[in-house]
Amino acid sequence: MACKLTKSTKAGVDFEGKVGDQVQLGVSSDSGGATIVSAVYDGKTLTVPWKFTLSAGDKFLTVLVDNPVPRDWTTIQEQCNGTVSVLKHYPFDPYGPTQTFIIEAQ
Amino acid sequence: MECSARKHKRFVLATLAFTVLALRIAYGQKYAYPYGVEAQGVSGAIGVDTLVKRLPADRSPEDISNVLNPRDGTNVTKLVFFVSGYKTFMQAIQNDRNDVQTGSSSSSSGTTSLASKGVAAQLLSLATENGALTRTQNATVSTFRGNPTGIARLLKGSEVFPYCAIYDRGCESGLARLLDGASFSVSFNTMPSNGSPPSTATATTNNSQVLNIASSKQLEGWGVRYDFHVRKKPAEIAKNYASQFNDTIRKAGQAYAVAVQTLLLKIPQDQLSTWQAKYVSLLRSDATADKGEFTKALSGAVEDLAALAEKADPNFKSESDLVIAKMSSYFVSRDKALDDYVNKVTFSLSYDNVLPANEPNQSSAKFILSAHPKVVQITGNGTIEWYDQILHSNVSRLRDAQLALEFDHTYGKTDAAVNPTLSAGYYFQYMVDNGLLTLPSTALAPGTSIPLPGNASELLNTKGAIHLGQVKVTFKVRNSGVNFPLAFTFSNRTDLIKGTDVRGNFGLTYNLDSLFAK
Repeated sequence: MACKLTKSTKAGVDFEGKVGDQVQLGVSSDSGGATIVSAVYDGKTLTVPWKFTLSAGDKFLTVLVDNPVPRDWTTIQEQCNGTVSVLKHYPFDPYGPTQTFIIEAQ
Repeated sequence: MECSARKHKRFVLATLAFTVLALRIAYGQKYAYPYGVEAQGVSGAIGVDTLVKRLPADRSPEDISNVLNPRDGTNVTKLVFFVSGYKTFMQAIQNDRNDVQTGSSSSSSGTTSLASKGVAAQLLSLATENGALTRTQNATVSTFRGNPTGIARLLKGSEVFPYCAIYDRGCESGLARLLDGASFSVSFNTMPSNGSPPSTATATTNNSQVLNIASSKQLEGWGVRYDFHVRKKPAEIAKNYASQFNDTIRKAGQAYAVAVQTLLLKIPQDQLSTWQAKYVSLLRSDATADKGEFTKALSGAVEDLAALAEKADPNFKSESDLVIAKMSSYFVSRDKALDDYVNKVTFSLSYDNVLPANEPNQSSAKFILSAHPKVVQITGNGTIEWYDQILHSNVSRLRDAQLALEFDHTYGKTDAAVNPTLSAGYYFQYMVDNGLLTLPSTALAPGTSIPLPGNASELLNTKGAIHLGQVKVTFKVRNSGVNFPLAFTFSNRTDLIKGTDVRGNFGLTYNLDSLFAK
């Protein structure tokens, strides 16, 4: 499937998408050790393979990542049928391992 | 006795010297800035620590907005540390750990521990336990266990001990990490007698009566130990890392992620733009060109963010406390589960010196192996014990050899108010020779009216094997550092008396790490 999330230019919104679209999350890192431990979209916990359907309005997506190499470059991404779209590329902080995004769907 | 006193003095001096050395190298892992994402030396990364080095005009609004983003995990952690306190987090971490040795070793005359545990307390612990396991003499013994590096940190006034993720080798200096493995213990007999000998009016009829002399010694024993962790290399840890995450860690992770999302929803989004614009402007102004003023502005940023969230929802602090609790549960459950994966082997070596009543002082060397396969903690010990002096007797200097194996399983949820741990263990001790006593010359030989000579006497028929089994329940009270161990022990004999022995032991242990984390 093609990537469903696009970067938003609106203040306080990170990404935009269409209501009903399905999004799949993934993670990668330079060391190869990064893994998604849990993910929560709009208050609901997700399960492997970390797929969710976009709901109307501004919704929070929280991803808990772990990586055995502190400060390793880590990428949270949308998995899009063979390609990926980067949601966040950052040095992993073991003491602040969550990343939260606001996704607006219409 | 003089030799023994010298040995005790050497122990105290060595501990003091070690603490002074540790004072010089102790420091704790902490963020360098009160708010904002930090690059921490990562090539290509932008953080408050890189922006501070730039001229204010060269700090781009986009970079500042990114490093101040309240939804970034680093900033969530800094916000909850500000609202709930870093020490609350440290206390939660300490209470979530329960694999520390707080009581005395199995050869003490007051203990509930069949096998010595794999890790000692990080600062100081106090345990008061009644009843011996293998010794004929029962006593109530209080044991202080301490870590010189932890005490050094306390004296230095910095963090008592940092929380370091199990795989974060850069969290402490190499020397601090090396010294962290060292610990010491001192045990006191809390109810020593006045030292009067047994009555000589009637003949003693068995070993039990001969040995029915309460100890007049206040010092029960002391010891030093070192915990070794042999770790894998980071690249080796990264392989198959994801497959190490079991349901328990994922559940703890879910609770943590839900708590973070709930907290962030409490921050009024419509006011964030104003807050962000204020600090982008401030950090680009000449007023924050200096590092001190820059840091002060970041303190103001987290203070303002917390204030607007608390104004919007008076329960914001409760949500922050919940994030702390869930974060610590996740960190600790992950670290415990990964312990065997990250550490190839965890083992400890210890030297203990015990001063039993009516027996010569004894030294022991112990090897402790600890592992956490799946949900059970397995601890194995091997020990040899010898007399410091045999006082011109003919008994072997080597007193006994011991082997112990213990299984522990903790029940209940990780954040429950009380977590019971069920333990089952087996202990074997072989008395190489007959027991050696130090009795006053007025005492009589067992079953006779023959006066025993002073100093050393061999206690006949005490050579051989001791088999001992134990079932123990330890009630751990969350957020208090308090444990109540209750043990039921059955053995074929004790060290100085042959005959089946069934004992109940109880104790109260307090891990002072929790107190200092408050």
